[in-house]
Amino acid sequence: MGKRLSLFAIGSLLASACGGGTPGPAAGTAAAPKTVADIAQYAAADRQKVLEAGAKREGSVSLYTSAVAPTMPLIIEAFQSKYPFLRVEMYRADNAELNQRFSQEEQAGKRIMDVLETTTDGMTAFISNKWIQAYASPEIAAYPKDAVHPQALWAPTRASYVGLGFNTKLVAKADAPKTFDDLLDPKWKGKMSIASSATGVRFVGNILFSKGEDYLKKLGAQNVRLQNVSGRALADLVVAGEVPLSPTIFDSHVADSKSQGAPIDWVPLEPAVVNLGAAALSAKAPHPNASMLFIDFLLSEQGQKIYNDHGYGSTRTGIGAGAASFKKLYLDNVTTNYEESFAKWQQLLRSTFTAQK
Amino acid sequence: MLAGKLERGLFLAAAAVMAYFVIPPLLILFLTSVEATRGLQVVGLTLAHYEAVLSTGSAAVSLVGNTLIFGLGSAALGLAAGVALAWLVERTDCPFKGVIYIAAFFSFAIPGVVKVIGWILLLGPRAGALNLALRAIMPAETGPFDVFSMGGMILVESLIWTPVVFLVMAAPLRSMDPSLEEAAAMAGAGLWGRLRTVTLALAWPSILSLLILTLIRSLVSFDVPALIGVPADIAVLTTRIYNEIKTGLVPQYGEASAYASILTVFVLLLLIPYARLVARANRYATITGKAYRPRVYELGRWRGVAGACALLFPLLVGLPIAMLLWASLLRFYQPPSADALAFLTLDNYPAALRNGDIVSALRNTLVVSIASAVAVMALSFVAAWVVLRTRVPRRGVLDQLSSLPLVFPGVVLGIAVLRTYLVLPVPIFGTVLLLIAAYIPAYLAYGMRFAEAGLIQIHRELEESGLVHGGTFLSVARRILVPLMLPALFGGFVYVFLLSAKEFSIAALLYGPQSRVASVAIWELWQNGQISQLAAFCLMVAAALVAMSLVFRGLSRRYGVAA
Repeated sequence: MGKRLSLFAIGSLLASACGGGTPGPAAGTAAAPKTVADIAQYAAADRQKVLEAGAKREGSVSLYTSAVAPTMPLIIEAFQSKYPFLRVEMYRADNAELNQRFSQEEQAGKRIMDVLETTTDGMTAFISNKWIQAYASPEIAAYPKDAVHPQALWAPTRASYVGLGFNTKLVAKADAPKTFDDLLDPKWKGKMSIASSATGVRFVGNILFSKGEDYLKKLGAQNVRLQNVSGRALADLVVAGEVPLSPTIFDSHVADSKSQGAPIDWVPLEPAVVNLGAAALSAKAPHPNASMLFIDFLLSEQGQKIYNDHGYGSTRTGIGAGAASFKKLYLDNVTTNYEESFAKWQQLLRSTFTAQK
Repeated sequence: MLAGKLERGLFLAAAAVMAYFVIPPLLILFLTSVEATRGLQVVGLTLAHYEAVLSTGSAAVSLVGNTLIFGLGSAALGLAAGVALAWLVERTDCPFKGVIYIAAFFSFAIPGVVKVIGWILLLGPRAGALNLALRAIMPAETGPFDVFSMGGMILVESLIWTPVVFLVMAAPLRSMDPSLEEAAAMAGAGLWGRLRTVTLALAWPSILSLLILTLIRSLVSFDVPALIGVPADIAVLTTRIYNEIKTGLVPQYGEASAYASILTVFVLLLLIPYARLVARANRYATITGKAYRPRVYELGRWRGVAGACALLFPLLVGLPIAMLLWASLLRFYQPPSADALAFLTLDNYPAALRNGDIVSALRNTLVVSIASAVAVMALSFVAAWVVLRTRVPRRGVLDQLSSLPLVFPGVVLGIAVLRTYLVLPVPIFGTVLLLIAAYIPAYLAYGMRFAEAGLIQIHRELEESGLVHGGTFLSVARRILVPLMLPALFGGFVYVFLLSAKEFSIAALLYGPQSRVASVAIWELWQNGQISQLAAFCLMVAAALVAMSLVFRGLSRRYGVAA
C-alpha cells in the first residue's frame, strides 16, 4: 500500500501542475463552462444539457485509439445514433504511432485530437507531458476505485488478461501448467515461446513481482523462444501447433479461436497481468463538450457491453463479472517508477531469453 | 544534340522536384539522429545515438558478422537468381514465362510480414506443412527444415529481392541486340563465354545498381530479422537498433535514425563506381538504328531443364502464398491433412470485407498507388535521361538524391514526412496527398533503377535522328524514347504501384479519417484478425492488384515496342 500512496502523491503533483485538480461548480446553475478544464470538471445538475448544447456547436469529436476492429466502429455507430448531430472522426493506430502522431501535431501547434483511447502503457508519455486533462464523469461511480487513475486522468474502457495459452492436441488439459512453477517442469523444455513485445516485457515484470529473479533464471534455462509477431499471431501459432504453449497469450484471442472450434485453451497463471485500456481527454481538445459526451458513452453500460461482446473485458461493476474468478495484477499501479522498471524488464527479457547479453 | 539550355532546364527541374521530396525527410532524419528526447519532448542535442550504434556494432562481433552474412547473402542470392531468371525468360525459349511474371506480381502485392507467416506455416520446425509431410516418410520430432535459422532468413529475404531484380533486368535483356551474341558465338565462344563477355558485360551497370539497392535494403530490412531472426536467436543490427521503436514504452527513434544516417555515407560511396560506369553509358547501348530485331536463344534439348529451373521461382514464391490460401479456407488454421478438410469454409472472405468502409479504402488505395507510380516513373524518366544523355555538370546529383531514401526505415520516413508537412505551409495534411508525398521519395530509387536500365541500352543515335528530322524533345520522347523504354517504364510502374498499395508501416502513421487506405485494414487484421481472415483479405487485395497489373501490362504492350 505504501507504494500506492507514493504514486498517489506524485500523481496529485502532476495533476495540479496541469490544472486538472480544480473541481467544477458543485451544483446549481453556474455560467456555462468555457475552458477545456471547466467543461471536463463540470458536475452541476444541468451537465448533460450544457454538454449537449456545447456539442451541437462543435459538431464532431476526434478520437485517437488503439482499440482493434471491429469494436470501435460499432461503438461509434451506437454513439452517433444516440447523438445524431455529432460525427466521430477516428484515427486508429498502434501506441508508437499514436504517440508520434500526437507529439508531432502538438509541437507544430496543430490541435486535432480530442479523446485518446488506448492502453495505460500508451498513455505514459501523454501524462508526463501534461497533455491530458482530468475529468469528472458520472459513469466513473460504476467502476472499482483502484481501476481508475488516482487523479481521474483516465477511466478504464477495456481490460485484457495475459495467461497461458496451449494447444490442446499437443498438451492435455490435465497436464497443462497451472502455476508459474509448473512451467519449470523439464517436459516443457524447448516447447515454450513468449512474446518479445511489451506483453513479454510485462510478463518479466510480473515474474519479478510475483516470483523473483531466481525463478526467471530457471525459466531462461527452459530454452524459451522469443516470438516477434503480434499477440494475435502468436495465439495462431499455438493453434497451428508450431508453439505448443506460451504464457503470454491474451484470453480474448483464445476465446475467439475456441468459439471456432480451434484446439487451444487458456488458463490464468496467477496473478494474471491486466492490460487496461482507458479513455483520456486532451488538455487542448478542440471539441471538449462533444468529447465528454463521447467519454461518458465509452464508460456507460451500453458502451461497455459493446466492448465486452467484441473481445474485451470490462471492469465496470456488473459487466464481465465472469473474468473476476482469478487473481489479477495491475502492474502499472504496483510499480513505483513504471517507466524505469519497464526499461529494466526489457533488458532482462533479452538477457534471459537470448544468447546475446 | 539538344540545346544546352533545355538540358540544363530539365536537370534543374528534376533536381528541384527530387530535392523537394527527398531533402526535408533527410534533414529530419539527421535531426532525429542528434536530438536528445525525454518522453517524446526534444530536450537538446546529443551524439549518444551514434555512440550507441557504434558501440553496439563494435561490442558484438557476432552481431556485425550476422548482419553482413544476412545482408550480403540475401543480396547476392536475390541478385543471382533474379538475373538468371530474367535471362531465361527474356533471352531464351524457356517455357512458363507468363507464370513467372504473375508470380513476381503476386509476391509484390502481399505484405512482407504476411508472407513470412506463410513461410513459418510451411517450414516451421514443429508444425510446418512441408516438415509434417516429410516426417511422414522419415520420422523425427521436429524438422527436417527449420525456418528459424540463418538459412531461413536468407532464403526468405532473397526471395523479396529476386522478383525486383528480375523485373528491372527483364526489359534491357528483352531488347538486347542479338547480333552481338551471334558475333561472339561465331568467334567460338560457348554459352558461358557469350553470357560473360556479351550479355552480362552489357548489363553490368544495371547489375551494379541493383547490387547497391539490394544490399542497402537488406541491411535496413526489419521484417525478416524480427519475425524469423528473433525466434532463431540470431540478432542483426536492425533487430537490435529498431527494437526501441517497437517495444519501448515511449517510442525512441534516435538510434534508428543514427544508423540510417551512417548508411547514407555507404550509399554515396557505393554510387561512385556506378557513376563512373554510366558516364560512359554509350558503351552499353544495344538498341541502335540498324537491325533491331530482338530474338531469343533456342535452348534445344536443355529447354526442359531450364523450364524446371525457372519454375523453381514461382514455386518458391507460390508455396508460402499457397499456405495463406489454405489458411484462408479454414475456420481456424491447421496443417493440411485429410481431417482438416472437414473445416473448409468460404466464410473468411465475406467476413474480411465487413471490416470497415472497404469501398472508400480501396478507392483511396487506387488513387494513391497509381498517382505515386506515375509520379515516380515520370520523374525517373526525365532524371535518367539527364544523367545518361546530357553533359550537364554534376548531373550525378540526381542519382544520389534518388538513392538516399534507400536508407530510410519505413517508419522513420513516415515520421519525417509527418513532421515536414506539419511545418510546411502546404495544406495536404489528412489527405491522400500526404501518403503520395511519402511514397514518392520511398520508391524513387526503384523508379530510377528501372528507368536507367531501360534507357542505357538505347543508343542516342535514335534520338539524334529524330531531332535531325525536326523533332522537339517532347516529340522525340513521345515517339521514340517512351515506346522503346516502355517495358522498363511499365516494370517500374507496376512495381511502385504494388508496393504503394500494400505498404502499411508508413500509411499507419500518415492516414486520416478521410484518407484511409486498404493497407490500414491489413494492418488492423494483422493486429487482431485470425490468420485465416488476414490471409483471405490479403489474397483478395493481391488478386485485384495483380489483375489490374495485367491490364496495365496489356496496355503497355499495345503501345510500346515489346517482344
